[in-house]
Amino acid sequence: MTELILKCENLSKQYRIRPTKGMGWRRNQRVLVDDIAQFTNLFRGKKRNNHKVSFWALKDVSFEARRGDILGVIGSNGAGKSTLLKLLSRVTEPSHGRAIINGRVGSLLEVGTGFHSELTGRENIFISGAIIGMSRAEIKNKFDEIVAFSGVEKFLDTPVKRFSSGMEVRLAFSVAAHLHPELLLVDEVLSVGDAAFQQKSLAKIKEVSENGGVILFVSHNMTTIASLCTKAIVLDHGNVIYELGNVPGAIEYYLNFAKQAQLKHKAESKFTQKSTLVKINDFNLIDANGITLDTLTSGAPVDFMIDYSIDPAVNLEDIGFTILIKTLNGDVIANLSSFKEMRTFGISNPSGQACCAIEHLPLAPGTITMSLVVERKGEVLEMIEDVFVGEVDRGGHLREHILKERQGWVEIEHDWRMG
Amino acid sequence: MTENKSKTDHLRQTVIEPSPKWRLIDFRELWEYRELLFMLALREVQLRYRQTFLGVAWVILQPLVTTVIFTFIFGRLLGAGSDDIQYELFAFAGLIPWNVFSQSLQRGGVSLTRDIRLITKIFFPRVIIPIANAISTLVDFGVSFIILIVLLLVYQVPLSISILSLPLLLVLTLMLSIGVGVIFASLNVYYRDFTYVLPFLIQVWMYASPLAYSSNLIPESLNWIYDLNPMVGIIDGFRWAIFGTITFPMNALIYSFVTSLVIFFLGMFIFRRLERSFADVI
Repeated sequence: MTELILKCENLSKQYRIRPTKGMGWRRNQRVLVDDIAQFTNLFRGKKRNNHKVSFWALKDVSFEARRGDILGVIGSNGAGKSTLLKLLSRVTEPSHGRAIINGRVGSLLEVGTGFHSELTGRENIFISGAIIGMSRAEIKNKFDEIVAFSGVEKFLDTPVKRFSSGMEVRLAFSVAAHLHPELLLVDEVLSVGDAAFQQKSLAKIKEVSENGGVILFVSHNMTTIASLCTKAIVLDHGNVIYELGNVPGAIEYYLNFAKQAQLKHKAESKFTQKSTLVKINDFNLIDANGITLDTLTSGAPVDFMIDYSIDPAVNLEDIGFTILIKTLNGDVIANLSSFKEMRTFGISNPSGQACCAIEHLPLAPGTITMSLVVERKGEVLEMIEDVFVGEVDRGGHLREHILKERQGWVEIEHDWRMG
Repeated sequence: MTENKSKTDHLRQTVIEPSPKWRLIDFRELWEYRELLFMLALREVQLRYRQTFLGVAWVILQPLVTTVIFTFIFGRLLGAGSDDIQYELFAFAGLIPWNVFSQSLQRGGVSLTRDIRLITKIFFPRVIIPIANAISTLVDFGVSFIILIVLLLVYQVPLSISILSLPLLLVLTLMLSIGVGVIFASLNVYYRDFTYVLPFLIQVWMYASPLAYSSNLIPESLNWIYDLNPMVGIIDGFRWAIFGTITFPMNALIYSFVTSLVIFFLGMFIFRRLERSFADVI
């Protein structure tokens, strides 16, 4: 057994929600009265009794990590991932339970936190370095390394406000990456900079675990989790639903869970909608034989069926549908809009079905989500997120990919020739 | 593995758990973060006159201009007393501690809400932020002090040995301003109203302090209430230290000392109590 770096015991965090009923002054008044009551209670040491409703953002989370571990924390929005990071980085205190950390904690939660736009690159390196916990001597030692890594040598004495946003982020990331902590907290960091810089960053992050540190990696990108982590844990609504264990098991569990949740959600209330003009009754994936699918297949034909009803007062000519296919990170892979095909979609019935047919689905195997947008002359009437969450399976025509984690999101029909 | 073992042994262990509700600022922890405190204070100084044409000249101009205004309005027009000291010098000597106090209070009081990102993203003892702001005013103090020496030379006023007590008075000023500053800083996290209250408070406080006038103008019978303002003792103390000719403000200084200390620790307690929720509320 290697040394314990991080141990969480029943780590929990409770938040209070303020009353949101009422508007403006009256609401402010109530909040103020609440706060004063709470403030005076602080001095009397009395229990709080007010209109606030509380919920557990994290409840009894326990796990431990040892030297060299790369932990993936998986969960959908609101699962408690960020709360866990906040607690471990000591930004906020737990409500009960505790965490023990041996060594320094570094975080790539929000790189460039200590950056100030009026200060030069050089000044910012020193200040943000000090803020994340490096000593002055340490920063001086690593200064050249940090600058070289960021690639902004020429602009060191320029105020950061004159930097391009890419340069600023690269410099900030460089500082954070040179802390060499025992526990590194990472939150979807790989969106930093261009591909080459991302590769460099990933290598730098992995260095932490190679040097015996622990990395806690939070993501809803299963591909990254699978390729990077050595162990994973799944959270939902603050609870651990899959104890820290092997990565493929955790991912499978999570995907199943997400699908169940989505089905349940669909069964309960169809979709939560804000528009009163348009109602989406159903959204289905239909295969060539007219059978409803719950997974997609790469290269196979599929129809996206939208069951809608529209307020008869609306000019039907103006209505259009758009289906967005996204990665779990929220990056849009494709935009299928009825407006692209013709000036108007030409809905003839105020209620019925619209179908978007695809002959060969050009998506690579992986997990995707879809959002549905209803527009009227460029104005978004309705936007429903996650009308579909699920997997694209490997179609028969595809061979097993050697570079599995790098198979990308789309399949392009292609032909290799020698010559 | 044994090598690793020895490595873990001198790793610092951090235990993250709910903290007791009432506790004083952890001065040991503060000491560990002294480099950050210094860096943040340096940042304040570096930032202050960025992209200004006159730059550091502002540090010299500000107290001088105020002195000129005071001299005309209070010294010449209204004839406020100056304890037989040249009015310009009298006013300038009073402005030195006042500027340290008012600026560190003003900056410290809004410091947390200006650095929201630091508070929601990264951990370090939060109290460092207002303290760094207070400490950054020492640069202004240093510059003002040099101007003072020059003025004393120009007006041929001999230096008094009592000037050696200035550092003590300065520490007292900082404690008072940090105490009030952290109270405002932490309340400001909850209600931004305090941002707007602060300039008024400082203004009222200024008129309640013997800045433009001599505290001898206050009737004897009201002294006990007047001296409750800790800045009275501090400002008179500064004048005594610099000129050595006026009487030592014994009573007022004792008041100042006690109130500053009480306010300092009260501020630290309140700050610490509210600190726990800063990241959630701000």
